[in-house]
Amino acid sequence: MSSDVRKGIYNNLNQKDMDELLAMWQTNDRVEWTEEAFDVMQEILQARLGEVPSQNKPVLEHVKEELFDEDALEQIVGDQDPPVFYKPKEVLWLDTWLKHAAITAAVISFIKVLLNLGTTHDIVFSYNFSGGVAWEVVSWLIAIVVSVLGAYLQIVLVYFPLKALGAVLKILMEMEFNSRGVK
Amino acid sequence: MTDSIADDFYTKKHLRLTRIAYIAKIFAWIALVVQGVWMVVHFIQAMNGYIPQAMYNSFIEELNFRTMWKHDTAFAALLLTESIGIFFRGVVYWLVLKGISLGLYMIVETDLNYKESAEGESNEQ
Repeated sequence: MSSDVRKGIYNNLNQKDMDELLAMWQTNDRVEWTEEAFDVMQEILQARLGEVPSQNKPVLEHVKEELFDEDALEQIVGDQDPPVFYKPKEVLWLDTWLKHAAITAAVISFIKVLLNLGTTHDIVFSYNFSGGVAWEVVSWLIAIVVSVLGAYLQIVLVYFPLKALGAVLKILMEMEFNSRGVK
Repeated sequence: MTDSIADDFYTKKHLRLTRIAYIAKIFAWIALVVQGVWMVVHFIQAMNGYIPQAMYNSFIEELNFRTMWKHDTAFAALLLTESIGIFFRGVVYWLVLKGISLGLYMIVETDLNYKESAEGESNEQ
């Protein structure tokens, strides 16, 4: 490592306050920070504290966190004091079907676009009947691009709102659960 | 939330929201049925519209979906996908309206929970 790079890392980390630097050192996230950064952190901590605190086990990969904790959702469904106006099981059921519907909508849109590809080509081709083989090829390319864009737009317009509705319902259910017995 | 609901506790706003939620639930079923009927109408219309083509191909006497599939698979596949798409739209409307209904009920429930806690707290003092 060149001294310039090390100096840059040192200057950057040296600006951080003690708590933040200590948290970074102890978390020991080897995915987020390089080996050199940890060397520099050690040097700074040694200078500031006179000793270097122990570290946690190194984090070598980030586990993707789910938006919703399944255990928490089960807790809501199995709560002894159930809500009056709705059934939590119905929310989870609806969320599952919204997910299925989102995927089915995408598949149907794609199939429809595929089946209409010939018609789209005919429309594009009709703009220049005397174009010959070159125009035939170009018109197919245009038809494919237009169809793919159309399918993508249709999928985006249906898929994401349905997924979002499912997520919103689960968030509302968690909020309702948290509001029970609040002091 | 307890089942005992006093008038000042369960306000007009709550009533309005639960009414909208109830209407959304009813409309969910209406949308599903209407789209189901529309799917059948569309299918019959498309089959009738195909009569000239069937006459041209000389299978007018036995025109049904199976013979249409046999003679003109692309058209039959498109008709089938479109019909399923129409009904599926009804399913999406049903799911969205059910979701809106449930969401409104949850908002009412959450508000009443907070209200109940606030009232309990003021009674303790």
